[in-house]
Amino acid sequence: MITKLVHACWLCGPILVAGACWHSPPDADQRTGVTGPPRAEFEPVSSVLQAHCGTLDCHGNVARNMRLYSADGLRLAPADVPGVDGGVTTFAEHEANYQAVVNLEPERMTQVVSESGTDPTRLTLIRKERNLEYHAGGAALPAGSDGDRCVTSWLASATDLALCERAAQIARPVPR
Amino acid sequence: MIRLAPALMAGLLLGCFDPVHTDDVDALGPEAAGVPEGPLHRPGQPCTVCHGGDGPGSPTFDLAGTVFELKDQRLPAFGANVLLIDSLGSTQAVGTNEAGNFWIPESELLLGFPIWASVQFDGVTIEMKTPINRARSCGECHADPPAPSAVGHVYARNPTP
Repeated sequence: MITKLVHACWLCGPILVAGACWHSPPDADQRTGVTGPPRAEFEPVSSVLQAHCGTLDCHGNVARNMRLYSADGLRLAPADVPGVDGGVTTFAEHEANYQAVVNLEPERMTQVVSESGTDPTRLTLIRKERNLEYHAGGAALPAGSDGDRCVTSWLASATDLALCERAAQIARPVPR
Repeated sequence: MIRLAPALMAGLLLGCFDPVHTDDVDALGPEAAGVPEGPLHRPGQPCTVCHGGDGPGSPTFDLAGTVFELKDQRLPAFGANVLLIDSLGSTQAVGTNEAGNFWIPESELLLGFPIWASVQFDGVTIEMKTPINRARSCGECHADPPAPSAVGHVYARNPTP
């Protein structure tokens, strides 16, 4: 009996190994899509991110994964320079910012957006801006701040434009 | 064990070597002719590449930079006052030397980031538009010539209309 079992194992072994190793090749046409929050409501959010996160010494830097363009920070067009009086962030720069933010974690972004922005801390974007996860820039948009609420309202596809407008303005501090 | 000692030493030495920092230092190039190492050297360069604690410059600075007089020229703004303020409203001021250079030595920066800067010179004050969030050298962002990722040097006088 034992001998028969040993013989069976000799036969089954290679079949099991081959089965474990076999897999179909990936489908060359398969793509991971992303459903982001509304692009049409992004520009006020982009303005908040530019002001709080997009300076040249932070995410306005080509070395960043989440790279943000702005009139006073990194420029997209080769002929543009930052900080020109009266300069505006271009449509192409807002678009690039949207792609940078939405495609940082496409699957999770899709999940958060499809669940109406529930538990946005699933996104590294939110954990970093609140400094819940280590962030060299600290809490750039602390939890509950106008800027944070602007971003999370956008993730819920119900952008609070007034909050965003307020958060995009950073007042210069007054000496004590 | 004795045979392993050289390999161990080499490993330790390699562990201390930072090729990125070395490349950054090398990219600054040699000293300008006739200007010795010291307070007047390398105006406009990102000071804390060398004076940021990783060497080779000494002393270490918390914050440093250069102010030029005009946007389109590189005349030093000698005697300018660099005014800094943080989000709590605390302030600190530092003056520029003959080369336009200024610095705050290690552990003497009294402010926390973000820091807003302005320059006072000849009775005129120019405010920097955006706060400094983490850069410790003006030259990191204020490199010349202006480009999509560089603002151009810090200047103290607005262009004459």
